[in-house]
Amino acid sequence: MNTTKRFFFYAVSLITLGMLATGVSTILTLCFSLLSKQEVISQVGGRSFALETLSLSIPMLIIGGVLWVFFWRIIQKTASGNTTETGSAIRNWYLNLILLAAISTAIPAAAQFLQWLMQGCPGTQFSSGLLSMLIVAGAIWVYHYRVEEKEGQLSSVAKTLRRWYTYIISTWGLIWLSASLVQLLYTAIVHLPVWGTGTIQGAFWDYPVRSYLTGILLGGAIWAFHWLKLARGDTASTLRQVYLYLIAIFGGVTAGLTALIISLYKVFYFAFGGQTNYTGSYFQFFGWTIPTILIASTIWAYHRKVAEEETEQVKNLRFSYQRLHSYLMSLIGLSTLVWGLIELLRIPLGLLVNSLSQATVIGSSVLWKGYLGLCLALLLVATPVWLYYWNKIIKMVAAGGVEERSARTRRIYLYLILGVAIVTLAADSINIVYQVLNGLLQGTFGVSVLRNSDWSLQTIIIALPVLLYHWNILKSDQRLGVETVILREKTVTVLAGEEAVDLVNKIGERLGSRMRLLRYRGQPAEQLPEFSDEEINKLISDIRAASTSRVMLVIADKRIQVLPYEEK
Amino acid sequence: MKSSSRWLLVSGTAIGILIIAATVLALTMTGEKSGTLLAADTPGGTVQRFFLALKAEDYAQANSYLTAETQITMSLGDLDWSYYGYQEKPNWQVTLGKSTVTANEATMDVVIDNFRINTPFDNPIKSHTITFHLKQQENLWKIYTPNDLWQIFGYY
Repeated sequence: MNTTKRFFFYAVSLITLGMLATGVSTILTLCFSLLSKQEVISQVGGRSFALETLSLSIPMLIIGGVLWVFFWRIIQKTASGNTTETGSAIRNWYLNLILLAAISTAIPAAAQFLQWLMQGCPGTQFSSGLLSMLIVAGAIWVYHYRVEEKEGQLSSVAKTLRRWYTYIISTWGLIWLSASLVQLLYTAIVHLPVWGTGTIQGAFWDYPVRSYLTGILLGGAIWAFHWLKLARGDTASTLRQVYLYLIAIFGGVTAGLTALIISLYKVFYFAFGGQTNYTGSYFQFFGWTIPTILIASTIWAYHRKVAEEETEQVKNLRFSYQRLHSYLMSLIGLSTLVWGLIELLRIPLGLLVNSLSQATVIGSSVLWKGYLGLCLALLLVATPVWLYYWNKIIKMVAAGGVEERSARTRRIYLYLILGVAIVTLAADSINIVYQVLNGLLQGTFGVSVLRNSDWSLQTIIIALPVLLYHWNILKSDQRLGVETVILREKTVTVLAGEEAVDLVNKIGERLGSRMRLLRYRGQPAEQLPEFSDEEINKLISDIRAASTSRVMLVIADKRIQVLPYEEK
Repeated sequence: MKSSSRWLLVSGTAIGILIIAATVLALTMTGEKSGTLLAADTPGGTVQRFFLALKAEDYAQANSYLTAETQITMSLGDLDWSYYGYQEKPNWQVTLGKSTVTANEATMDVVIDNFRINTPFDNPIKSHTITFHLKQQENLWKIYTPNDLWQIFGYY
């Protein structure tokens, strides 16, 4: 099937499936609605309404159904035993789009249905529309999931699209599960009879609790199914690393540290006497911060363990993911530390402004206690995180030498910090000079200049040492020859058949970078000869010595060709 | 028989049964409850008569079931249905739930289903629930909220 014809068939199939689904869903809604009127005392306009619903749903169901069956059977006949067809981008877009849309419809409907069950199935609140939506979307999902499972993912585009689906839903499930767990624990803690009479609340078994339980059950189920079953063993996937490092590990750390900072801030604020109207309920924040810390730590620890185990399996990627994790954590630590130091400087500067000011300041002591509590909390949390991960990076650099210093993650980290620091310094300098000049020229120079420049002064004092420290690191990296190593880096594309997979992995491992792989689909080659370590080392040298930044490796006829090329 | 043909036969049969069941249900189970008028001095009786009057587009009669402060000044035809994605005034049905009476006030949950043809993927039945609040005046129940047709029918 050519691309245009394929697109036509899948597009028509998608639209007619939509018609069929709407027809079935509407007719089921009508049936459930008519069968569930036991507690209804009266209905107005029911007959006319039911007949109009029936008049629309029957043609949608029959016409949509016949057309869908017709087109879908042609599609399935063409795809049967045809790997080009089953591996085509359009087919896999179609299947994964339907899976994503069906699960996104079925799960919220299932959640509301579950909440209705937990409520004790009140007849008057039964939603026939929800139940029919759940049945139809669920059936569509199951059918297309079975189709996709049966034929597998036979092309790289099929694998990539399946991964997008799997990791999007895994992320959704994980976030829903963890947020619901925290909220349920918080609600349970708030309902404990220890907070005195200051807390007014409704019954525990109310709508929010039912919705959190639903989130735990369904979020947990979809996360477990997609992450533990569908994503199992998918270690070579980049999207998996995005899920692991950016969503689970980075997200878990950020959530946990935020909860820890808020807890410490509130405790310090209380200890400094900032909370004047004390009631027992002040400490209710522990009800969500402690569960958040515990759940975020569990998510972090579990995914960190998975990431560690997987980097052992994919050795050539080991350092890049470990490196990414260390630099990400270091960035979190450093930015929080900088925030804490800025808040710390706010106190002496603010007090100075107040003491120089003639105006009466009301309530300033409570305000300063708040700032002090916040900056102590930030510094206490951020300092150990940054020190630990930055020391780890220093050790990694000491062991890895210039190659490690030239890593892309390190360069992005350093240039990001440099960029933010320079922009901050520039903006601060402009504001300070503007305030001073304006004060002098307008004859209003005084405390107001200091007051209007306090934020710029705070940030300039912190940004300057941060800039100098990282600037020196970058300079020393350059002195040690990082730029030369970067210039030697090549973008490698490999054209090879199935039989060369092990060899390609070996080359990638030695080269220390990912390669773009083009699969040769011509006549299958005979068994490749064993390439010795010396031969592979020679190949790596040839790649690095190539005259262009782009190199193509062609593995065919029992030999490997290194072809430098340029894109025009 | 091939697996795909068997699957087609089973699905076709299921759809056929569904169509027959829905038609039978629609023809036999609708109208039986709306045909019976509830007692006029009950909250349900007032709400039921109010909707029957709206169905008949008899707004003067519908207003007689509302308190003096809650009079409807527009008709269903005056509503800007296009704002809510309807091409024209939709077919609708209302289902009355149980009422709760406390002293001289009462509440009643009413499910309103609007029928709308929009896109092929959109469920044409749009349902929402509204709680009616009633006051007892001279031994009769009068509706005081909702107090306009927007609140009752204007739901996306």
